[in-house]
Amino acid sequence: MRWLKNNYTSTYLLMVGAFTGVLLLAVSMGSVAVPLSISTKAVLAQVFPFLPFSLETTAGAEAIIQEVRLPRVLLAAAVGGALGLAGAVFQGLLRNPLADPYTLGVSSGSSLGAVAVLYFGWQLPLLGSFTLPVVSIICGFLTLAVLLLFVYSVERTVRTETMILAGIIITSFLSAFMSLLIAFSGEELRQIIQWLLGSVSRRGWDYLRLIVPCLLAGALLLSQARALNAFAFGEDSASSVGVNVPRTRMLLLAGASVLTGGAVAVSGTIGFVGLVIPHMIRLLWGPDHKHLLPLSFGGGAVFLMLADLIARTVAAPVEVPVGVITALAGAPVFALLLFHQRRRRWQ
Amino acid sequence: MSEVQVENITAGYGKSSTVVDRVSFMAGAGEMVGVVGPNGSGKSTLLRVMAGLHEAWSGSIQYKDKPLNSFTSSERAKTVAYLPQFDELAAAYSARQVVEMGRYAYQKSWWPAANNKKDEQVIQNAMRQMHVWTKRFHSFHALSGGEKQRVLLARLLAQEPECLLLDEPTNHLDIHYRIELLNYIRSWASEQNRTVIVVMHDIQAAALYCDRVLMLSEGRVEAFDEPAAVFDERRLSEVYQADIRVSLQHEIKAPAVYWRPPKQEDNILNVPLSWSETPDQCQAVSSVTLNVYAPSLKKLVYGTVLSVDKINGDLHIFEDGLRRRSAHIIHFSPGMRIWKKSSGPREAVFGAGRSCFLWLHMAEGWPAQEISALQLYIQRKAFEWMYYHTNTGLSLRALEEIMVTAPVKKNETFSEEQLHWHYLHIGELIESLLDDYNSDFG
Repeated sequence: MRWLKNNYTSTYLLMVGAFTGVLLLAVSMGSVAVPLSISTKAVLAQVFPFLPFSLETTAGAEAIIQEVRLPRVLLAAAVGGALGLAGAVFQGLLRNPLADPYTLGVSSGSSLGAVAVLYFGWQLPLLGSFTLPVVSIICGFLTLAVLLLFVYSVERTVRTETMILAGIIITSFLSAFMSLLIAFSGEELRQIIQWLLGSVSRRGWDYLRLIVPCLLAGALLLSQARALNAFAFGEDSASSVGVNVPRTRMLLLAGASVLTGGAVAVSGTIGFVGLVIPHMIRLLWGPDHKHLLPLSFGGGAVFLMLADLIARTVAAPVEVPVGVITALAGAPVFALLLFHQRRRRWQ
Repeated sequence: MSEVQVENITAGYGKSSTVVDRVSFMAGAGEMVGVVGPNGSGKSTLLRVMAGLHEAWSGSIQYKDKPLNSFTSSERAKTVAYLPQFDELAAAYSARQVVEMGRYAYQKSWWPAANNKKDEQVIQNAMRQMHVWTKRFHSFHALSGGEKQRVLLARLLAQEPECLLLDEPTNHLDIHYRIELLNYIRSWASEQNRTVIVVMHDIQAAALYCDRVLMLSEGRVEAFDEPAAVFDERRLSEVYQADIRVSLQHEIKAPAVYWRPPKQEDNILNVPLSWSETPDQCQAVSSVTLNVYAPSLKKLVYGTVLSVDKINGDLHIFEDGLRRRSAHIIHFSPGMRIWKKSSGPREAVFGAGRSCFLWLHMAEGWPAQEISALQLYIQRKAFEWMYYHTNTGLSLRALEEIMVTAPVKKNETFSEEQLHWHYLHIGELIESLLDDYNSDFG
């Protein structure tokens, strides 16, 4: 990995390669094995509908890939990417290595919304089965608004500690509500727990369409990489090198929260990705946000696709919650990386 | 034309705590202005206000006749560069990446991965000027304090500012880097014809480097003039609440600011002296000095220089207040503070390498009479011991320092761990001394 350190062309090529490879692998594997060549064609046909591909496959395999696996795998990629990117932004902005997309409590808002929809069995008109993600994402934004309102009314010059504390307050408050709903729930319990554990299964293309706008909004964050670098010395230093701190902070908070809210709304709270992927990328390629942000996105996407692949194949036909896999597989890898890094420093 | 114009700035925190009170001053191009004053006098706040990081309640600040609040963030960054007092870096950036942060205001491309050539050039120049170019790939955390400070300064230079605002830039630097940094800042101001405003705790450095000095006291301007005019003995002592002396140095054309350690007359009066000075016999050939210092009281409770005549090759010690003039001389002078061990200018006067220092931690609240009794007792025993060892051929040079680091409590016997000896044989002495003392007085 050492040779990649300052060779960003290779790094990005590797990332794109890993993404493509894992994507094809993930659509090919499953309860019905599909040969790689066929799945490749099916994916290409789906992605580039204008290309004249002659699909000489059975309609079944094609349907499985195009209607079930591909949206699922792409959703995993989108959620993973969103969480990785949001995590990198939160860690940079809050200057706290323990920050992750869920630190500020936006995800708790989203979760509470989703749990409430499941508990009360809401079905809003016009939205239908979309009620859950839409309500969830709206609750996430409401939470962000409350957080910012609270923080700005506490002090005019917002400090990151205040923001983190406010996030903790909001998270614990909303979690209490969630626990309440869970305590009173009967048959919905299983559904709620499943949702909270996080999953990208059986979502279909519609959910993917829901998160894409969030991803596009989040992509704006990439342009703020330099500002995030400037934040590394604190907000005073950022301001003195020319960052418009209030505006940039608001932009970053909003962007990262949109990413988080979108991810939580479509897939529940999948842990570990947003916390650890940015750390891994930082260990391998340094803290410069110009590269950290896109690589965290790519890394998160690849990681969650892999985790989901393992989750649905390792104990098939039973699906392991993907959040369990992210932590089970990710923690040792991260530990190994950290171990090597620190060891090298000592030598 | 003045580059920087500060008019009637009042600023503070919360609703009513005024920290900076109606401060006005001007600084021209090529000028280095030092801001001095005691802790809490508003220096850092003034600098933060001038950097646009803290909003003033009233007053105005102008850079090149343009008011600060009309600048956009990036215009401001291109005009003023600010170095905060404390700067902690969150992640392991390399030195070069830190300097690159200074270019933020100049980099406006949508895709941020590529730097343009101008940026590269400026970054490289700034780092070369601060002699940190060779460290560019090093992690900022791994640099030494001096290197960190120079990298941060390079970041400021990369902003290509008209005016530098530095908050105690030489903090935590050793004298080598301090001089180097100040020399550099000084020449940057003169050569580039730009303004430097620097908060300093080191009054002497301010006197040496600054064209003019702004002295603040409780948020108000106490004085604003050339160092020689500002650093007046009476004013310094008043503002800093300390006995500060100033002497004019013709060689460097700057006032030299210094101070004296505390005086001990008050304590000396309580000491029942049994030995006194006999001026006609002050012909010390060899001498022994002995100081008793009580760090817990933060002062020298008892300062003595005791010199023992050895004209006849004999050492005799006064005991029980008896004086035998012909035998020996003990010179006692409480005004003398001999802090050096056995080197430095005092050496010639008191004999080379013949000094014995005893630093004794005294517990607070001990009766003065008991302290002095113990001191006298220890002195006497030390002399006896030295007399004995001189005659048996042990060099007095070994007696450089005796240190008792544990607080002395009444009636307490000393374990070996409590005593920290530089020389073991002295340890034996003091142990027996204190045992004797405890049995005599305890």
